[in-house]
Amino acid sequence: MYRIAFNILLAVSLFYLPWWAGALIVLSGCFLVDAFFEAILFAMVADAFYGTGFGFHGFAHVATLYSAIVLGVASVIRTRLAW
Amino acid sequence: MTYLKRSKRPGRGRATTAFVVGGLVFVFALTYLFPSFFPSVFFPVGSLFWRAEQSTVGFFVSMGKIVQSKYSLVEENKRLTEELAARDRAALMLDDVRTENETFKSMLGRTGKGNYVLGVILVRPPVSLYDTLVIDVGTKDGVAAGDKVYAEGDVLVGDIAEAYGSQSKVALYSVPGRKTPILVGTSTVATDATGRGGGNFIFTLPAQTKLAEGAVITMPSIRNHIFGVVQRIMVDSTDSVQTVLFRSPANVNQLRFVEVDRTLR
Repeated sequence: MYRIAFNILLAVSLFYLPWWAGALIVLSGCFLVDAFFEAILFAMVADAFYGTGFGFHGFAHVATLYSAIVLGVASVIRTRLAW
Repeated sequence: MTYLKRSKRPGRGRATTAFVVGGLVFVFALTYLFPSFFPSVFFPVGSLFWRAEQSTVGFFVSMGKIVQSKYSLVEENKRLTEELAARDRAALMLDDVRTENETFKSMLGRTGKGNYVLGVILVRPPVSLYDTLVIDVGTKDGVAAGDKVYAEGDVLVGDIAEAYGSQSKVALYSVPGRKTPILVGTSTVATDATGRGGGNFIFTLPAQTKLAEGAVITMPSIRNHIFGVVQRIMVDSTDSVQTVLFRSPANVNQLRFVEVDRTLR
């Protein structure tokens, strides 16, 4: 249930919400949903949608990097905690 | 009874994980090697949602205005009428000067007149992380990568980064880290400005160069335009340079339309 809800939220945030709202959804989704790989997929699409050759200080995959790091950290923390 | 912790329960298996990771690597490779693949597929779909959003927001804004008190509307109408009359007087002079300027340029075989197309902004910051806009004109309207984009008439805000069928991506000059050649003030000192996002820029000049807050920044171009206005000058007495902060007079968060100049080709 959580997975579907977070996927819908991410899809909406891609089109309508400020980038920081998407970042918060990814953060919470990675902790609440098991193996939330969709976060990286959405981040890649966001980078492709809005990114240009100029990137962000020259780096064009900020959202992908962010979601990969959050997913990695969340996976490690989830193996040590139970809720 | 002993329950396993959720994290200790058997997972989906390595094969599934490898498949998912492989899929993500494939998608990343796709976006890296063919950056225009996703935008060209999803922009037509996205523009439907963005247009629907604009209609919905427009409806609620109209409803909000309807419930405003009549008194405040009358007061606002009076104030705006006076403001409009004052601006009309100023515009008459401006039109005269502009016509004279164009005449001089024509006499010298040059012209600042462009071939413009109006674009509606579909997406703007902060939805876009990279300080980019998505507008509703594309290659079908004669727009191509590199075309200059103006806002509010004469404010140069960016250029077309990628053009698709009916949509284009505009890279604002204020993209964080983007360097843009500029001319500073009436002395037209040439230097490079670095974007800081949200229409803000920074550059440095030798401390001896005289510059005042409010000075106009332009770009080397035959067309009359404004690129930015100096907001703050920071000079350290121990340093030989001054750091200047300036911003674009057009607020991209409030814009609805931009003009794309197609005269480059």
